[in-house]
Amino acid sequence: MSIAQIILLILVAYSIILVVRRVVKKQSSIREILIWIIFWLVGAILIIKPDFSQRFASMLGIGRGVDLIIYIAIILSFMMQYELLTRQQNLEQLLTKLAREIALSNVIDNTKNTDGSKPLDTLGASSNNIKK
Amino acid sequence: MIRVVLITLEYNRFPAILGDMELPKNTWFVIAAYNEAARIGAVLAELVAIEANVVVIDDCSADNTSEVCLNYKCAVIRHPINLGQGAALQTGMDFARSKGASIVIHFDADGQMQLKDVPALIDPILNNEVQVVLGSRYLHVNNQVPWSKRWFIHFPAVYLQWFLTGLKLSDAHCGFRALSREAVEICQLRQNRMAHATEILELISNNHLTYQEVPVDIRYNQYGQGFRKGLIVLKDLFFSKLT
Repeated sequence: MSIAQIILLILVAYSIILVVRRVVKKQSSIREILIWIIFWLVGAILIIKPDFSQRFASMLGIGRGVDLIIYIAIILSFMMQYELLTRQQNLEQLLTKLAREIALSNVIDNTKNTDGSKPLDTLGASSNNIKK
Repeated sequence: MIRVVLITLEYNRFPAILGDMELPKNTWFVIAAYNEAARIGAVLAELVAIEANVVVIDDCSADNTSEVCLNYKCAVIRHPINLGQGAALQTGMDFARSKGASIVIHFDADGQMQLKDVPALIDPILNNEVQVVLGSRYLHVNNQVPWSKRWFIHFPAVYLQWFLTGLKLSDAHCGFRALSREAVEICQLRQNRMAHATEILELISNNHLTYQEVPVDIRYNQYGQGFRKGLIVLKDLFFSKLT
């Protein structure tokens, strides 16, 4: 086994440990992390025996097994990034909506006062305000 | 006696005089402000003097912008977190709409915009000619935009806006605008930061709103959005188009 393979296997082992720890700490169930365990085990197999990917690659008409792995990784990455991007944008919209609701429920409206004799609202005096 | 009291309590009953023109009763100035405590007082003093309806949205300023505004006859809304100018304007428009605004004017908090431009800005809407009026610095004879800004930032921006929105304007990103009630009701800005300017143009083109540009005199006391911030706008637009 080459040095690269050893290093990669260590990383894969570490990733599996992280995932298994979540189950031990009862933050996830086994069913939830199963797909990740399978993913890392497949990764480990491919690291130990890179020829496996070569067979699939030839079937699909791609030159090298490594290329196939890279293509799949890139496609999956883009899919995940798209998902993350949409979720982040949705979160931002929700956050904006929430902040806006808070702001609009605490408006200090002095436009109603018509003459200088009425004291203007101050941040402390109005009952509409959140105490800072 | 009671009737007299009731009449004086009805705010802004008497339209204000602005030049030769009366400021209609339901015209609202929406001012987004961020750390403008030093300058917003003068702006509000002028607006209050013409009895305008003003709502200031303090985008979670670090200085005492809100406190300064409380000394003037205006509505003050404070965002609990900093969201950006687009979000602040949208909050202001929501508020103005709830107050029955028939025209909304986007106005800057830093004193760069001049009240004398307001009649030209709202006239086309009052005459039912258009639904949105966009101020243009470049139509104005006296524009003070620095040469470098005009050629390296502004002209590319105009062509980019044309590509993105289908609208070819003389000024891509001027914040001095007036919107009719229909435009305000359709307007739901999703771009929180500076890309909202492009989003407003998209609003116009997607909803086939009628619009017009009028010259406005913007007095610069600082450089404004630099080249880097322009790139950030592009980045925001790009990512919003991806999803």
